[in-house]
Amino acid sequence: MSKTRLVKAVFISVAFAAAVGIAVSAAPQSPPAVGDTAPAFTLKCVCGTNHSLAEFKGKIVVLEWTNPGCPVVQRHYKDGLMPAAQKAAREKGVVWLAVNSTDPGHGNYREPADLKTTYTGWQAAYAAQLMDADGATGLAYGAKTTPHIIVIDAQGKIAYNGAIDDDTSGNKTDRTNYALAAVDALIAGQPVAVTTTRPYGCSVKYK
Amino acid sequence: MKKRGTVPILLLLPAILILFASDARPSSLPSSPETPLKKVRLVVLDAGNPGPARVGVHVELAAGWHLYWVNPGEAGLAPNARWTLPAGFTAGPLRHPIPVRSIEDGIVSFEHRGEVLLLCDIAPPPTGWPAAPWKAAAVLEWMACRESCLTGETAVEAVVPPDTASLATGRSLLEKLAPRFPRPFSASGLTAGAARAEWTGAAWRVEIALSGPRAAEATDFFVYPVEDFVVDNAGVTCRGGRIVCPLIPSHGPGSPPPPAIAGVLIVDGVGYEISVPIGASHSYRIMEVTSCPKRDS
Repeated sequence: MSKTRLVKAVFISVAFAAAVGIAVSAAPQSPPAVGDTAPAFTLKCVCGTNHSLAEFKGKIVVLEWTNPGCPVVQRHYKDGLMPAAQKAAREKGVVWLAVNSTDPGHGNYREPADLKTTYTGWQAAYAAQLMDADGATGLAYGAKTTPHIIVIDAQGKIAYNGAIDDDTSGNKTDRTNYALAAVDALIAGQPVAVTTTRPYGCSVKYK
Repeated sequence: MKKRGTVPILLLLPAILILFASDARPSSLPSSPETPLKKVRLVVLDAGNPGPARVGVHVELAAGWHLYWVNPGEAGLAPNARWTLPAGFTAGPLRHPIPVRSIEDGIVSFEHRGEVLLLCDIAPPPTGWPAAPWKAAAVLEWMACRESCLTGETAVEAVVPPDTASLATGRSLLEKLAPRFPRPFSASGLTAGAARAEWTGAAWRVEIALSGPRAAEATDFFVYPVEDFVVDNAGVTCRGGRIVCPLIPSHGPGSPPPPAIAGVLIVDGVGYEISVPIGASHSYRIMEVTSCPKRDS
């Protein structure tokens, strides 16, 4: 092969590889499925400190997307359902993290201090509420609604993805809390019976 | 001695200050309560006897607001009616008009905008229709969204049979809004093969092949909720006479596909309601849908 042809071949190969690389990086990432590794994140809590998923390695983690401007979120907190679930999970050694992916330009956005006051008033019992203003973590997990629940097992794999419970209208007396059911199964070493449901609530107000 | 007359003026001072300050409040302060549902009423479309009575919850939405279809999509909640009827009467599910597909921030939802009519058939008790007029009452539970969302409940009622003028109003409304409801699939001139389901590792990829001269004119498919499955609405496609619908099983990867899939097929802008069996039988039988499936929960 002549030097000119070799240079040309190398150039074409590099250009092709670059094009493929760009195409791959530009393609939207599919959210992880149940059984996939939970995407890593580091986010600032409303209290001001950073938290990463890695620091909870070996523990069951519940992620709850939230927005206090959503009436479905308001119902779950004001009726005491969400705080009760958070408290029950905490007592079982589970780390419950609320994630707020609301765009700072949206009418539902609240500053961290305001969120802290509101959720304290609602008796929230999560470990932390994390600010995800650019929505990167929400999009990485495919969070659609507030509330939307992801349960991550102690091995860092997604074990449940979906609604907090089966009571869309708030009128049931014998509702099933899917997040707690998944947590209980994981603690007992049993398969999670319901791994995916349609989350219900307001859409996440992404940037 | 206290001067009479000064105290009332001092008491009024804060009110006067508030009056003058009210125009200067920032726009982020809560404004007056919004009313996404401008008008809600229950209309009698058919008094029944001998068949079921048909009523409709008629909603007029304020500009920019929407309600959700029976499958709301990836966010939202479908409206629900809690009925209060005479003993022995039973209300069927709400039948929805064809929705509008919306994609915002990558989130797919199916919406009703403007004027919405939700139909419901009411059956009499086994003893038959009463001789005297009876009352149908419902509480409509709704979630309406614009930039943000609101939820609420609205009570409506109607007497059946209605007076002549009310019945004429109902029939006129139905005549106006009937084109928004899906027609039977047999009216489309198409046929559909039995759906095939293929496991992709995370979901069942359900594929329906359409045939007929207008098969290529089928451009959209709105899937009804599938019990024990989550519809991957963003992955639903309808082109070239082929519908593809990914269904994620609620009970994990070992779950078999559902026995059937149903929804509204859009052909040349018109909606047709179909239900197609899925399974190993590979029968080429089309089931006409006679009632709406249960709402997703």
